[in-house]
Amino acid sequence: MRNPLYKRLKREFKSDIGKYIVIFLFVTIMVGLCSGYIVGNESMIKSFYETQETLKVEDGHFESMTELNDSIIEAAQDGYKLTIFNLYYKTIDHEGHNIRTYAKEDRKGIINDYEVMLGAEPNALDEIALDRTYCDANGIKVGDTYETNEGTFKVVGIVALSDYSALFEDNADAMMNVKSFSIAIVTKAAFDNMATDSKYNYAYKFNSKLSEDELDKKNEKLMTYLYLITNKSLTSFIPYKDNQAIQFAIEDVENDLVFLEIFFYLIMVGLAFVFAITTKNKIEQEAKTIGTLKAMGYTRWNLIGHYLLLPSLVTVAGAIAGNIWGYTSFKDFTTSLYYRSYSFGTFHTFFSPKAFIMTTIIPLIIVLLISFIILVVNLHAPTKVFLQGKTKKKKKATLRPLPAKLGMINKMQFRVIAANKGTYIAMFIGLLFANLILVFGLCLNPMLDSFKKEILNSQVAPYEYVLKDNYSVDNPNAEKIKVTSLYVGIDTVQVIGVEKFGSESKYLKDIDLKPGEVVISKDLYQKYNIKQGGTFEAKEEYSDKVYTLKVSQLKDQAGAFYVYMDMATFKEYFKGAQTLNGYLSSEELTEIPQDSIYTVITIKDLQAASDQMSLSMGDVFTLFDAFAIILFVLIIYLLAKIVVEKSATAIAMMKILGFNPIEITRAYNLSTGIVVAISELIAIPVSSLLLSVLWKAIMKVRMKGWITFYLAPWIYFAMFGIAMAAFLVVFLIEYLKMKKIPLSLALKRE
Amino acid sequence: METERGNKFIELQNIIKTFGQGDSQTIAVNDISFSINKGEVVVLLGPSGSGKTTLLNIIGGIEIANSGKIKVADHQVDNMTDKNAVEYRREHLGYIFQSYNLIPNLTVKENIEIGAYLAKNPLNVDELLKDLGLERQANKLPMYLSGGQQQRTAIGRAVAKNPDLLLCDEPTGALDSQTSKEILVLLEKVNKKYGTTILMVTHNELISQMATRIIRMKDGQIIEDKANDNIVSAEALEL
Ligand SMILES: Nc1ncnc2c1ncn2[C@@H]1O[C@H](COP(=O)(O)OP(=O)(O)OP(=O)(O)O)[C@@H](O)[C@H]1O
Ligand SMILES: [Mg+2]
Repeated sequence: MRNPLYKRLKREFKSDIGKYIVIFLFVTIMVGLCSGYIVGNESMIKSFYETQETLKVEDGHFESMTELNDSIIEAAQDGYKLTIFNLYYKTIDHEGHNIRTYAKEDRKGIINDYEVMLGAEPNALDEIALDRTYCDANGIKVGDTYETNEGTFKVVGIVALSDYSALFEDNADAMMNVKSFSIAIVTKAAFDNMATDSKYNYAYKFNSKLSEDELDKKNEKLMTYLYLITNKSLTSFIPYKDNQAIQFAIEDVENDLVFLEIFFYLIMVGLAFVFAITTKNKIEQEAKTIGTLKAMGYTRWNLIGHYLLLPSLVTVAGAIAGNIWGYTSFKDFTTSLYYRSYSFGTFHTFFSPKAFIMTTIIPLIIVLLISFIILVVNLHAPTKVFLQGKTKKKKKATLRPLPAKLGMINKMQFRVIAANKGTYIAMFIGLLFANLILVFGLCLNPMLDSFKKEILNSQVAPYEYVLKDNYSVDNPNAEKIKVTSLYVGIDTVQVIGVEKFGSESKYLKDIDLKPGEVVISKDLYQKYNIKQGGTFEAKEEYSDKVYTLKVSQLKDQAGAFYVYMDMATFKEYFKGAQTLNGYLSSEELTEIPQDSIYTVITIKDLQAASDQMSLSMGDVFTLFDAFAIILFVLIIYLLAKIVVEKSATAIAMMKILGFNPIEITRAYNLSTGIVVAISELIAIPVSSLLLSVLWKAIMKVRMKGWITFYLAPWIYFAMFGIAMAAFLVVFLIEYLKMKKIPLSLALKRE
Repeated sequence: METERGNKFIELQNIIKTFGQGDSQTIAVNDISFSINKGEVVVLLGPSGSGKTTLLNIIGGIEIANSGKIKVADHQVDNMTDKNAVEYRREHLGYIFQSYNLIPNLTVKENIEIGAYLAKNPLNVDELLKDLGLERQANKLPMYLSGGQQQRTAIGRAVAKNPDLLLCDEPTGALDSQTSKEILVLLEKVNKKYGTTILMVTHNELISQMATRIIRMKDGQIIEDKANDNIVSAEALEL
């Protein structure tokens, strides 16, 4: 017989089965959701980058107004060690949708290849393949007929293109458009048959693998070269890194991982608390047994091992079950969320060591470590103390009397709370984390709505036109501007030179520009902590040139990063640089020919980032809420359970004395309610504050763009309500349990 | 002091109580009938396992008899709803155990206040503390008291609500003889002062000398039930 303690394990497990089931389920759900999410995410990311290789995605592309002749192409290829591919397209029309159509033969096996998700390749003249997200959004199926201005096609395939995981019609667009824009693939013959003019689009790929830095440099040189050699007929030049159609979707997936990790660590802290509390409770409950065992000669280490075994086994079992669930089914749920928004190809599940470590190894270590520390600390007292049924040597023998006017039940509540201080402090901390997760989950949509309102209210002009050329507008409502873009930190800022400002301007009444100084918008000064009178650095896009700008005024304008300067200062700063003309206007400027327009920025574009965030993050945040609610119930349940279990004998005695169930419930179970309510009153403002700090940190470090932190007032009430509802559930369970405590429990002699 | 003899306060008829089933069945109380009048001090004697505690708990409504009838005051104890049981215990009973069973989180005074809280006409808690000699212990937690002090607190709790019936299960079982005597003196005082009926279980023959009546049990049955003709005051007991 090695260790007779093991015999106790089975009994212990049975007697505490409820607790172990709760912990097992919690670990399973937590590990399952997180591993499912992380594995799904990582597999998406890995598959994405793999297919970027196998489908030969470009290093960049550019478009010219005229077809480039062979000598230019050859010179570029030789000079910059790259290959240029003709990737002409024709924009055809289907019920007002812009369908960017390519020839199958230009792509297949050559450059920016695609995957047929459903159906087949187009082979006949009247066959067409369309993007999957576009088809989903418009209810188009394989076999449908598809009317266009170039004739009627039959949809034979639904495809995912390696260079269009998000359907951005124009790289300057703030938002993708799956509703009225798509990529289409037809045969070369069908393509050539179309009457629509070709757009002269070229993709390029460097002949060898280059580092990020080398890529940046080469891209810049290539652009300058092409710009000059084509006699400025270059209408766009988009390196891989800046291509939203390629980068946007995968960045979203990668960003979700950031939030998920934060969320996961919050949950881990919650889990650690649950274990700390239950372990401590166990020792308190078993103090006398521990005393006896110690007296029999068991060492502290024997006991630590003994009490560590069950929680570890339950955690391991939960982690295994969770991993199985995560890998087999939950992963498909998370990835399906991405397929809803983005046109990814098929993905393969990869075993993710990171997910395994994060969701299995780390929780196990945390559980073991926390339980171990709690055990070491709490098994420290001498044997004698344990034999007396205590875990600590001395407590205060004398208590201060409570005010006489306090009713008996209130006095008892007070004493119950005081006696369970440790437990309740743990509960408070646990609730704090549950609140943090909850408020994280609740804040997003109202925050985005509020931000969109803020954008609308602080909008400068309903239309901001940016032109490709020098087209001149004669309209009293149009104010001329010049535009260029720079980098600040990880964000692109729009630098705007204005002719009119202050009282002269219709749109910029509230700013006063001084020569050599700039006015900056709210997102910019909030995100980068720029003060009025201070300076900040902005970098040119394709060079190392850095501008140090002095800020004369902060402008309360949300939704984008804007830097305003007067026209003279603008011209001075950006003498040789590429700048564009534009107009601010209160109305649509229909007189500008479409060909001259580079982009038009309206309220929709400014709000697009918020819409996109709501679309892509909504589900993650709902997950947060679900988790928080589970955590609430769990924490309150485990703690209320401890309080009632510890007091079981006293409760039995009170029953014998003639207290009725209501009185006993008030004294013992409602005390927990009081503590939950008080904890919430503290935890709600504290967690909100923590979240605002966390939010700003995430925005600054990990995310492009900016969203002002805002908590809708109803969220505070919701948090309180959810906590109290969780308490109510537990209260009912504990009430029934309390009623079941037999009177004879008080008579058992120990 | 005049007591209302002849008024049957407790009435038991054919009480049977068994534990367990089949081979392992124990008959703890085997067809017991007797009655107790108001104001009596009845001592229940008997060897270990004879069913004393079980009988006391049946009277207290803690255990339910398999069969038989019990009436205490106007309560039919053998057939009560949960609500009636609470009322019965609240209005009529004071309980004192060998293991004190104080509420550990409450101070001595608060433990006694609990009793007072439950009663319609409670005794004054401060006076009671004085009578019990617990004034200086009033704000201490039970855990830090001596056994005698804890038992005095338990008596205070039981007495504070001024019950009709005190059920005492070996109240001095864990105490030395001097402390035991103090406790018994207290109980006697309560009986004299408030006319409280006392039913006390004990192992100790000597204690029975202070009773007005002595009931002996063996194997779940009453083997003797006689009035004590020679009552010795608790003070004079030679424990
Ligand atoms: N809850 C129970 N379950 C099973 N058997 C019980 C239970 N309570 C009492 N018994 C049995 O009933 C019989 C009477 O027990 P009881 O406690 O009434 O005796 P007692 O006279 O009070 O003994 P003691 O003087 O040792 O306290 C014993 O055989 C005991 O083992
Ligand atoms: Mg007994």
